[in-house]
Amino acid sequence: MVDLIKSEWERLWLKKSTWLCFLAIPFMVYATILYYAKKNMMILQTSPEYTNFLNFPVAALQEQLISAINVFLILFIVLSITEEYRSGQMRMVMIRRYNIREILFAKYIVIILVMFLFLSYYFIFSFIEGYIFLPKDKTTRFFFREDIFLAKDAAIYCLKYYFLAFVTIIAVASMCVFISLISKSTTVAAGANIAIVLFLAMGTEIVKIFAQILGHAPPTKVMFSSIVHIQYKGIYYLLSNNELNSWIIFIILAYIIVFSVFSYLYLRKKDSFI
Amino acid sequence: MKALILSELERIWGRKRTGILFILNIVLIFMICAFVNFYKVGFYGPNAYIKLNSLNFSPFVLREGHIILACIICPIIFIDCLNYEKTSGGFRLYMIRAYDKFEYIVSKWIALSITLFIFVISIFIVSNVFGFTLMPKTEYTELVNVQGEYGLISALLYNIKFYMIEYMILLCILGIASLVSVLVPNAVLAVIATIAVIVGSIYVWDGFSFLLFSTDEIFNALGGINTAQFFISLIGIILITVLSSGVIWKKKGYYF
Repeated sequence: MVDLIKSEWERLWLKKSTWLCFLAIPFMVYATILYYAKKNMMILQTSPEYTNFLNFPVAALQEQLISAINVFLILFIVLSITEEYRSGQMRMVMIRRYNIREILFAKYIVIILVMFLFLSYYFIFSFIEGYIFLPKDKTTRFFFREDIFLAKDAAIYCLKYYFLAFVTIIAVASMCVFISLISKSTTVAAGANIAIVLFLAMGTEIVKIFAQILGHAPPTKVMFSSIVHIQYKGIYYLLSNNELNSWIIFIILAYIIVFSVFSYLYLRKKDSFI
Repeated sequence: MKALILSELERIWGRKRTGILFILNIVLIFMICAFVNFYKVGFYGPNAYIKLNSLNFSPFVLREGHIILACIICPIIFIDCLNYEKTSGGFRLYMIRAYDKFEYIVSKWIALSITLFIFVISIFIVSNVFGFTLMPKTEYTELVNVQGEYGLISALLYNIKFYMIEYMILLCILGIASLVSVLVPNAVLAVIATIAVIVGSIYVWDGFSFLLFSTDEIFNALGGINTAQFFISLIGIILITVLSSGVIWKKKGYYF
C-alpha cells in the first residue's frame, strides 16, 4: 500500500498542472492583498472586517477556499481519477496485484496529502506577504468573537481555522471523487463538479431569498447543509461556540461518510479489472 | 465546407450530453422564470429595480441564466468540440480528408455558433411564452435606462436586440474557449482555464465584467451608457481571440 501511495504521489507531481497550481499561490495571495488594502480604507480599525497581518491568513482563505482552492481540488481529482480511469491508463497499475479499490484509495490519500501541503504553503505565503504589505498592529479581531486577540492567540486561531478548512476540503474531496468516478468523460466530470459547487454556493442564497419572501427567518440548518456555505461561514461559527456547531460537524462527517460509501458501492458493482 | 459543418453539427448533437444539457437548460430557465415571478420585480443593479410585466419580462431571465450558460453549459460543449476530440485522437479520423487545415477550425466555429444560437433562441422563446401567459398584461411598458413608454412591437424589438447582444457575448466566450483549447494540451485544464478566464477577467479590468454579469452591462449599453466602449471591447475580444487561435491552429504541427 505504501508503494502504491508513493507511485501515485510521483505520478501527481509529474504533471505540470500541479506545479502551476503551487506556483500560483503567491500571486493569488497578492491579488487578495490588493483587494483588502483597498477595502481597509473604508472601514474602522476596530471592526473585525479590518485586516492587518494577524487576521489576514484567515481573511485570505475565506474568499479563496470556496472559489480557487475548490477549483484546484477539482482539477487534481479529475486529472488523476477520471482521466486515468476512462482512458485506461489505470490498467498499467493493475498489472500488479492491486485491485481498483486499493488504487482509488491511494489516489484519495494522495490528493488529501497534496491539499494539506497546498494549505500549508498558502498559510506561510499569506503570513509572509501580509507581514510585508499590510499594517502591523499589535491586536486584531475576528468575526463572531467579542474578545481582542493578541499576536499569539491570533496565530493559534489561524492555525485552528486552517485545520478546519482542511477537514471541509476532505468532505468536498469525497464528494468530487464520487462524481468524477461516475462521469463518463473528463469534460463532463469537470463541468459536473463545478456545477455542483456552484449550485451549493448559489442554493443557500436562493433559500435565504425564499425565506424572506415567505416572511420567515432564514432556515440556518438547511443553509448549513451545503458544504460550500460551511466553508464560507461555518468555520467561523465552529470557532465561536455557536449552538449550530454539532449540526455543522454532523454535516461534514455525513458528506465524508456518505460519499465514501457511495464510491465504495459503485466500485463493488463494477468489474474489478475495468 | 458545407459537408464539414454538417458533420460537425451531427457530431455535436450526436453526443448524449448536448441533449441533456439542452433539456437541463430549459428546465433551469423555467425554474428561474418561476423564481422571478415570485417578486414581479426585476433588479438591474445593486439597488435599482423595475416592475415587471408581460412586455419587459424576458431580459431579466438572463440575470441568473447567463451564469449557468457561461460557466457550465458553454465550456462543456465548446471544449468537447474544440479540444477533447483533438486530445483523445478522434480528430485524426476525419482530418484524413483533403481539406485545408484552416477549414476544420472554421467549420467548428460555425457549427458551435449555430448550436449556441439554438440555445439562446430557445431561452428567448421560453421566457417570452412564460411572460405573455403568466405575467400581468399591459399595452405599454417602461424599459430600463430608456425614457418613454413602449408598445408591443417596440418592446419586442428591444428584447430581440437584448438577446442579440447576449448572443454576441456568448460568441466572445466561444473565442476565449477556442484560444484556450488551442493552447492547452488537456480537456480538463481547458474547461477550468476557460472558466478561470471568464471569472478572472473582472480582476483585470472592470470593463470585462460583461463576460460574467451580462444583463447589467447590456442594459447600460442599450441605454446609451458606455455604449461605444462596450461594443469595442466586445468585438475586440471576438476578433483577437478568433484570429489568434486560427493562426496558432494553423501553425501547430500537422500530425498530432
